Amino acid sequence: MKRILAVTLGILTAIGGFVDIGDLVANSETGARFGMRLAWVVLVGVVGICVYAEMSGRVAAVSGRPVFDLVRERLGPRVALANLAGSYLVTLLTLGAEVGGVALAIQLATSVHYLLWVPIVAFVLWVVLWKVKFEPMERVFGLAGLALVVFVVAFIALDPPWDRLAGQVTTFSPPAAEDWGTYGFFAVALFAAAMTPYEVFFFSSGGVEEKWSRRDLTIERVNVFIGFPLGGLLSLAIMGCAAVVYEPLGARVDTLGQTALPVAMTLGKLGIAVVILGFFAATFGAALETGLSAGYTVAQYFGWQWGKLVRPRQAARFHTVVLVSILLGVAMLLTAADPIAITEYSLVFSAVALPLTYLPILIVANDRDYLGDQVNSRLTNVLGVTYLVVILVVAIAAVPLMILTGMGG
Amino acid sequence: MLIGLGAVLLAVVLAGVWPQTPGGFRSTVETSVQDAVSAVGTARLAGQTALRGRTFGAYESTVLDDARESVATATSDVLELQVPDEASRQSRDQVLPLLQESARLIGDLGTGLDEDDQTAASAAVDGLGAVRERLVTALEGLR
Repeated sequence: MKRILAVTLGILTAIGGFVDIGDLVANSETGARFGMRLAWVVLVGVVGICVYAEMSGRVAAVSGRPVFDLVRERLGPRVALANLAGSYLVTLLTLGAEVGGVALAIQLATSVHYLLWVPIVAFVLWVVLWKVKFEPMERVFGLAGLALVVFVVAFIALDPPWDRLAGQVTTFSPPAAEDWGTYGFFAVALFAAAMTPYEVFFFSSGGVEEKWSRRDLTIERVNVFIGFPLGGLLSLAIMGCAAVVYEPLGARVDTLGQTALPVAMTLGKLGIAVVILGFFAATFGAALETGLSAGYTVAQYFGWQWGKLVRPRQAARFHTVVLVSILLGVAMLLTAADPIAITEYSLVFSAVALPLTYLPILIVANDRDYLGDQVNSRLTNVLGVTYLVVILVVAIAAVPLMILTGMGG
Repeated sequence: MLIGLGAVLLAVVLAGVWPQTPGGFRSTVETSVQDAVSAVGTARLAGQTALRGRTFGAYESTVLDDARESVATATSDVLELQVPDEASRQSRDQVLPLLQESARLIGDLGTGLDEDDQTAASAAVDGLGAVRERLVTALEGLR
């Protein structure tokens, strides 16, 4: 019974924790402009994150060490340093976007400008990272993120034109008002939103924090293969709501208030309260994950004591990196840069950094010195290599598409 | 490496001082009108939802503030540009009144909802519907 409860909690946490500011922005923007024509990218991205999250979780469970720790040992300090620089900068950009997302969610509930909330959010974030233990922290925000299920309810309540949406799902080309450049740009953004690098750093480091062992491999796989696809379903519901409400109007979505509007239209005040709670939990939870991931990557590269299993005094350098990263994220937001624009940039640069994250995982997951009999199966390697090719194409295309389309036009 | 970096920096400077072309002007106007279509459409939906009593004040106010700010930015983007030719001037003169009307109606809707004046808010929602139609027509003309 206890094991079933642990599995259920893990799945629910994975579902609620799947969506972050990148998913909220990319899915609602895409739904408004392309309807469901890019839904296939979400499916491709979800399968990709499942393949690589399972790999990184397995590495953590079998070796007892997180992926980044092994990357330095396996690939050498120089390659790992390039990996660290790219991953850290992208994680920092994502952290700034998530903190901005929390502030925007609070603005929706209070109408007080988000910039006034940014320092308060950052302070509370730091206190939670300093004081709260790993498991309750992950569980509370993951479970609260389930409030975003309200998008599934709203989508059904909108009485969507199923025939039109089904037609869009099976159309692999842009609508008349868009071109192939913007179609490609948003495909890249959606793929990057599903496969954000910090997710695997957090997942594998979290596995070590929770002391996973070989016995936990089944739970880890159930969390990944059930939790993440159901999280992807939330992403599709967000896209679907925007597709039903905004696409027929020719309106584009570029604020969180717009993302929430379909829920208000169908479910009223209660719906809007739940969706704002969902925005808050999803972005705050992701801010915690990115803040920790920033600390994990740097501390693991330099071989410092890290994590929340030990007292902050024993992992002082790890906590310093976390604190400095939060301050840098806040500084970025206090330039008055739009959090939604920061999110869009974070998705593009995440796409560029994807190979830096996923190639080393594939290499380590095939190393018998670390994984023994738990190295990748042939099927996992076929999927892993196929995805690596997709990731390379996405990484190469991201910046040219950003420039050509002017961030999607 | 250094020569490449210098060339990129020079290109950035030249792009910044290059005179406005009719194509560039048209593209900016098109983006501004598209932004206004989005803002007006959103404000109208938010207004209709609020009039049915399905949202609360803080949320309405944030959504309408965002919409108003978006139209204000779109208007200033058009006004800030130097007009390169007669066709561009006509294009500007066609869209500016629509953008100003949009901003006014979004403001009126906000005031109507704040003061619980259902008649004023309903009139603003109807007005937004009409101005959206004209914005969509203007956008189609620009594409």
